[in-house]
Amino acid sequence: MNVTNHQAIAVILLSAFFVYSIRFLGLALGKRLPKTGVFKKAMDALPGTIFAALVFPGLLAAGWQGLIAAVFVVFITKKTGNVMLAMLTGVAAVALLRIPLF
Amino acid sequence: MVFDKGGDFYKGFRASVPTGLGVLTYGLVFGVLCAETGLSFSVLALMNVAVFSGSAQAVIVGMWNDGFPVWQMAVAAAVVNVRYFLLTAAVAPLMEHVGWLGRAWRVHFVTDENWAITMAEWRRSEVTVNHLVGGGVCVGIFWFSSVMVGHSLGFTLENPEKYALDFAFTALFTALAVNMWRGKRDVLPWLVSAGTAFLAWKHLPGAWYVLLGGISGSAAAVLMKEGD
Repeated sequence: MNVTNHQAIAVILLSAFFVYSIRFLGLALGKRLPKTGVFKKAMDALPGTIFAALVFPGLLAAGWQGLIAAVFVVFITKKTGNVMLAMLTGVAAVALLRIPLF
Repeated sequence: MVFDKGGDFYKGFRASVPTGLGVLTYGLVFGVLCAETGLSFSVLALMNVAVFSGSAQAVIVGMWNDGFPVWQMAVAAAVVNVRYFLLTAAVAPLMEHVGWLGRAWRVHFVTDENWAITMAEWRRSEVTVNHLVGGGVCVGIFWFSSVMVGHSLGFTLENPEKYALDFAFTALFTALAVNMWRGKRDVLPWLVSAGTAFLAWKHLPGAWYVLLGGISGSAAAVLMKEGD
């Protein structure tokens, strides 16, 4: 299953090409983008919905421990704004909840 | 001349140092996770320079050992970074007087952190593109060095599940998602996204769930009436 060196470099270069192209296209099309309407609405919503899509299956895959940890993560991020602290607490919560009690 | 307005590069650099410290802690942990995942020092160094995006890199490394085809990992990285399109579009006016070659390298230095700082400064006073690039170089130095230090500290644990390291990326993405929450109007789009993502994750191979979830949620946002 492990990634070979060739695959690693291919993944990185292809990702770099995509990510750079996005940066460059935004710059190139900057003035021509609609500032209102459907396109703007969709683009404004996209970052959040992508993260929702990214997170949800992972949380379910982690089971009830993951769901409880997620509550902690959300709470700490909201309270402190510290993403690192929230992440570490979430990981610690899952680790603790995985300890078999009997 | 761009460089005549001396000091804007340094101003941007200095203004980005506080967020650089945030990048530093994130980078250290990310570096440790990369070592844990099995990325070599040189592969990671190449990624830091070539991709230069925390969220895209986190997605790539999160999928690293799961047997995904190369193109799917790259598409997933691109999908979480579609927002860069909006960031660079917003700073396009700052680069109007720069030639295309000059724009081509400068735009690589746009990250969430220094973009926000330059935009805030731009609202208060006049800025040049050097402010943005100075901030980007600052963030880049913090990012590169902290990730590499984290990787060097990196230890490989006998069974990472025991320490819930397999949950690290999910926890990180959850925290990042909280920061993207725009309030009530996100409820429906996020539910649609999560539901679609779950179905796609169950039934489709690879990373399609990220793309399909994101797009369907975004479509839901468009279809909602104003004021919903």
